[in-house]
Amino acid sequence: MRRLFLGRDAYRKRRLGDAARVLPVLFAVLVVLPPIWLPQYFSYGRGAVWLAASWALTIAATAALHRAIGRAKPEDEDDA
Amino acid sequence: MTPETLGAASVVYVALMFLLAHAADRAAAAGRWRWMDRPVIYTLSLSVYCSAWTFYGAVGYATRSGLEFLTIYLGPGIVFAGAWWGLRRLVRVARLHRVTSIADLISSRFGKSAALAALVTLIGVLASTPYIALQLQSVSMALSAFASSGHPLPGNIALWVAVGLAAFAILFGTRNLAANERHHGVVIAIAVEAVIKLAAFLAVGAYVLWGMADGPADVLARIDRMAVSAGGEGWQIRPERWFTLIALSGAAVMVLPRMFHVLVVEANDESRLRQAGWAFPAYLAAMSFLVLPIAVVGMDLLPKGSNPDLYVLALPLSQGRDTLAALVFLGGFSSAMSMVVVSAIALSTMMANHWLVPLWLWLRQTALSEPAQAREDLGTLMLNARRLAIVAVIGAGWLYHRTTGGTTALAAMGTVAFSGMAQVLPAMVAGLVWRGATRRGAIAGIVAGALIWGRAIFLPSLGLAAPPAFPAGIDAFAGAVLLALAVNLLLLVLISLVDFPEPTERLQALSFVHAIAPDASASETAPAIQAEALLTLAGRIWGNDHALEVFRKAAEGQGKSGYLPDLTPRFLAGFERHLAGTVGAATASALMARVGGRGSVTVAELMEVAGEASRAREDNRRLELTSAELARTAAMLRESNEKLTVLSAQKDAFLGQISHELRTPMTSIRAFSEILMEPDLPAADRSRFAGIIQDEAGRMTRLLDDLLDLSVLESGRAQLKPGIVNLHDLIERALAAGGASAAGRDFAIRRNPVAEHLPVITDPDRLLQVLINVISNARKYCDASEPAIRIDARRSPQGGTEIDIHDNGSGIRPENRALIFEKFARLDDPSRAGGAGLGLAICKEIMGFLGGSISYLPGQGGACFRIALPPRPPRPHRGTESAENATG
Repeated sequence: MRRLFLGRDAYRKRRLGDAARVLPVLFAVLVVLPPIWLPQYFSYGRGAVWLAASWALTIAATAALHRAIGRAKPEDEDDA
Repeated sequence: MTPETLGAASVVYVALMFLLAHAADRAAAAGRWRWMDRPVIYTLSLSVYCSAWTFYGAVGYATRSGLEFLTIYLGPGIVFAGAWWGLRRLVRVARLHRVTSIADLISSRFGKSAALAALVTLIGVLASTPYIALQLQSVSMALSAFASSGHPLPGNIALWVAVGLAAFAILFGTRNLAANERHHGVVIAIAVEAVIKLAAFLAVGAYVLWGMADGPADVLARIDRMAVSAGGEGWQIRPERWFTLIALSGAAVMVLPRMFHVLVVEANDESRLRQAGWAFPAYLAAMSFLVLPIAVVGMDLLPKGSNPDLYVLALPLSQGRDTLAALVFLGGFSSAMSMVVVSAIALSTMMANHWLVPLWLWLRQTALSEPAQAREDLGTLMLNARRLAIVAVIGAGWLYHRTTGGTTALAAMGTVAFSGMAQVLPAMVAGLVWRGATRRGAIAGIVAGALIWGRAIFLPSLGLAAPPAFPAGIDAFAGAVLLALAVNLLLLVLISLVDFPEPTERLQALSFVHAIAPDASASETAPAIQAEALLTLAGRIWGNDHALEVFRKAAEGQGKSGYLPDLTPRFLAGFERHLAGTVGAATASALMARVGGRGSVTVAELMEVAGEASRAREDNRRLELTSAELARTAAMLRESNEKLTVLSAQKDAFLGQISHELRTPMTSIRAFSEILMEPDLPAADRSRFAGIIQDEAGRMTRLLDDLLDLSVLESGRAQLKPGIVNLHDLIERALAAGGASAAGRDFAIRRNPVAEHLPVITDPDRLLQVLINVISNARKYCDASEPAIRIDARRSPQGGTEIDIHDNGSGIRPENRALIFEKFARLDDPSRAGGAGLGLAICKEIMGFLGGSISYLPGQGGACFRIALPPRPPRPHRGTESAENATG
């Protein structure tokens, strides 16, 4: 049975879990939509820079997020 | 640098990998594998995704189609950005069910369906064939880049590469049949290869970027010039391909058999996904963005007709950088090698578990649990099946390479594989998130999707059919993939909506979707499974030692001693999953059914289980801890109480018996000594009677000796006289002594003299006493018509020594096994045994005194005693010694 309200640490951990869900969606939107809308604009140098930048940002964000999740105290039921 | 030198270098390289994998396997076998079980090794092993396609094909792909090549890495990038959410769930569920492959996962989710497992295996094999062909082609192509003109290469390089890699896969992928499908040696080898290919690619990328071009800005300028150049229109992103390929590669990183293997099967726990979630995308990004400078500089500098798949070699070669080119060749070879080896291992496990073993089971309808006279070794059969499958898989790749003539662009071959394997994705994802997805829906979807893939993509890639004609403006590949996946998904959903799944399937669905361990399995209604039959079955698959260990632990968990646990639903479900970790869920379920003749659950029973479960779950959780503890204690108490009751009765009986045993010789001694007092007795009679008196006195002495020996051992006053002795000599002496007292029957003695030559540190006289006792017991009680005794001796993994003494008689009945080591417990009529039933009791005391143990092994097809000795005997106890000195 999942508890309805949580303390600060457990609450924070749940939100970190939410962030881990948002991240891939955000990344997918960044790399899929612009080239589909504006193929002419994103097919060459600018596209390469755009993709490299968004991927590098995502990798950095994932690393930070996963580090934070690792530091957070394990919750009793973290299978959110 | 000639192709011959490089060929020799590759052979040396493979040999080094052999040594590395071998060393890692040995370390793992000795239990020293913690250092290789790190997240960084796991992350590096994932790089098996970057095969020769990445190494050579990606540059060719970029040259022809521009940024589209990046889609192959962006898909996995997206999936791994969500590693902690999606992949963690996949790994958790797969570990819960001890899944061995992608086919096993899907079959297990959809009611342990053997048909589904065989189907997914078929798709895996078909889709991997072009992919393996790609690797073989890349190696021979790369070698040809080094050949000087007018100096043709031998034609069968691909064949030799295939043979070498098959040998590697067989040696390290099929060493033993583990209870989980992990291969430490192979993983370490591919992790090292990951470093080598990254280093090689970074080296050539950096050289081209700064040595041949003027840094990133120059490369970007060259890319922008493509927009207006002649070949530039190929670089224009085509939206439907962009989307389709990202989706395909995202699917591929999870469902390709080799990726599933390293990602899920080799994962020890889910926490390592925290590191892999960012480190693996970083690896991919580094590899993929360096492709761009190589592609554009190659297009600018190399002659027009050169093969873009080889730019990565041609660029350093054109500048005379032979060493760099050789390093790049080794990197490419590494990536081809790790891909082929891991694919072959993963696919061979699938083929053996889901094709060959079910076929074999179907062909042989006999019961598997009988300790058959001809004890067929199922484990060896399965390993051989895997070896055969490895040869078949790599052979098929080579055939594909021959059929296509080795001229196709590498990337085109790779996308054929991706789109084929992606047909499994809808069933996998639906199985993990939707309880309503059913087996029939999954089969229909996969079959339809695979048929469309085969007709529209696979056969055209072989040149056996024309590609389908889509309306102008629709890309043929993207169109075919989207059509196949759409039909697949539609059928899966529609059929699942109208279907009513079987109970087993519903239990599995619950367990997969909510990631809860299926404790109450379908085996709830198991009618007549015998623990011993299961032990025999397990022994035939894992080998006796591992099976005995598993059963002993289970019995211990229930608070019982010995090797036979109670067959609770929890134990049966756990055992079946353990078995599934070796042979796959479908086969494990079939085996259990074969052994137990198990009936299936009904819907009513299922609903009863579920209803009770939800009502009682909250209460149970609180009660479970205390009640488990209580149950364990109760089981222990029950066992000792039963033992005590029987013993107390036996003690009374023994007192009577011992008086009787002492009185009988006493009576005859008295009677005959009275006769001897007669003065006119003939001399012959006199000596005969004196002889009888002597024999009877001897019998009494022996009995008293035994009793004294036992009391000395029990009170801890015995003296340990340790020495080093060769076990072989000791067994030799024991057999000679046991033979002297045998009752004249002819025994076949089966020994392994070589294995017996083990030095043992112990008290030799005491150990000899035990051996003589057990061997002469076997001689006395073995009731086979052609009696035989088998003696096995070996070192245990902990450094001690184990001696198993088997006979082929009917063994000891289960109800008697708890008693044989107790004093005066003689099981059948006393007339056959010469003593008072003290032999095994003394043996047990002696073995305890030597720091070891003696136990009865059930399920061996006869009586079998295991004598286990520690590496060295225990130190004598100071306290008792001084106490003894004080009193003595």
